[in-house]
Amino acid sequence: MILGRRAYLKTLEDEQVISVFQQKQWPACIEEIYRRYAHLTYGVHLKYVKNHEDAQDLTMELFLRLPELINKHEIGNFRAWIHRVASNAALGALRKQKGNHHLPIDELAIPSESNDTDFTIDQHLDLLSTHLDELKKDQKKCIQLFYLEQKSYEQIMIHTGFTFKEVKSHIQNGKRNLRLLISQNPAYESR
Amino acid sequence: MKADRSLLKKYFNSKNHRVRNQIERTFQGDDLVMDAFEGFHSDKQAWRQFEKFDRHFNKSVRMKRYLFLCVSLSLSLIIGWNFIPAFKTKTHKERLSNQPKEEGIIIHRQQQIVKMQAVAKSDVITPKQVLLESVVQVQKQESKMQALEKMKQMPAQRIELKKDASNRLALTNGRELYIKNFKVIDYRYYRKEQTKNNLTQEENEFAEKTIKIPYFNLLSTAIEDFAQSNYKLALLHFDEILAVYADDANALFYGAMCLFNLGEYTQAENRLVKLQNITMANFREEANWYLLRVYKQTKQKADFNQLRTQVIENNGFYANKALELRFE
Repeated sequence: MILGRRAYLKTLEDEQVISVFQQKQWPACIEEIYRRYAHLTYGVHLKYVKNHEDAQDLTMELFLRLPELINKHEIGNFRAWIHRVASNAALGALRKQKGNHHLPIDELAIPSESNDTDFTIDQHLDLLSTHLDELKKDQKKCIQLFYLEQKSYEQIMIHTGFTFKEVKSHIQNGKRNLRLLISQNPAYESR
Repeated sequence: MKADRSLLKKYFNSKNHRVRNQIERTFQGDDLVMDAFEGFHSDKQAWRQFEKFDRHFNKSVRMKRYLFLCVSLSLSLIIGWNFIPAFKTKTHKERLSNQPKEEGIIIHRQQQIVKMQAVAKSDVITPKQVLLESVVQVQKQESKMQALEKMKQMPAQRIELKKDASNRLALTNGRELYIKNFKVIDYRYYRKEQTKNNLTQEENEFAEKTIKIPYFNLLSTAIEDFAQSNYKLALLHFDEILAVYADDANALFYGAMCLFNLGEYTQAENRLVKLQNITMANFREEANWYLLRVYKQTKQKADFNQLRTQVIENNGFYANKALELRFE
């Protein structure tokens, strides 16, 4: 019976699992969510607190509080929701640790759903080279290494001396600027 | 592609940067995954640390699962032990409902028979006992015939006989004759055709020099040995018969008597059970009675009680004896 529940829940989307939990309160739903998201939330916590013990505590606390949170909130997009909850929990913990100290502005940025998911550079690699020079130097370098030379983040970090966050930021900003530039290109409009 | 554990494990354990680049490109638009990547990139031991934490976190869940499995396993074992009949020894009725268990009947070798030990004198079924019972049984049957003759006769009525052979009674009493006053079925009549076929075969096979002792001679010798209480020798001859004719009622019955007297109760039981499943019903009553004695010797109380009730209910020759026979 319980094994059957687990197998059934594995076939469902995140939102369906949440809905089942809200209706039937099956502990197996939380187990399933844990299986899907524990590693990701752990990574998010680690990003902020930069300490294994604290990241472990936060992850454990998050999943212990999860049934209560799910029952309390209306959840539309679970992935975005849990990302926000994990980030907020980590930031809250940081605030407690640092007392009245100010947190860096980028650490306070609460993640939101990315709005450039429909635009992928891979589809416009031909137009990429024509607009690459119009980007800032660091952005251009990161985009070139990542998309054209197919280097990993780690290799780019070694190559440029940037941190992971900087590489990620340059690639994301460069991608956003490229989207604007490419969308103004008549060749793109004609597609 | 889903950012599940296996993919992240592959990403962090892979030294191929092309593979890593592919995974990073796939999740470029996914802030959650990119944040997680960033977190894990802050420390090279991060993924290992997570796996350690995961094992610890799952420990309680695993414990619950093991507990559940242990409880269900022990419950099913208890239920199985108490309710599934496969664990029980088969009852007399169940054994009868099955086809004769030929695999249970062993054709003994001379060396095996030599090693057998005779049972205590008080437990032996003596040839005299078997002889007396069969004589009394015949006399009882005769007295029944006399009683029938005394009955008032009714005018004969025409009865239409069905020609369908399949509807006839499956059980038959074979022709009987007496060797040294011991009842036997005269198989010569039934095995005529078979013997003829055997003869023609032998005529064709000139190379074969084996001397074949006729069935009747062998049976006579075996009965003679049984009558003289030479159970081992008699068993050897009855087993020779059974090796050729597996359904031979004479060999099954007298063989079972020999085995009983030699303390081989399981083999005796197998032969008596088989005797109840063959078409010739001449030894059916005797088989039931001696099987009852086997059950008593082997202390199979449930089977004994069941068969005893059956023998008493049948109200045959052994009904009174069965009433007197008690399981102690």
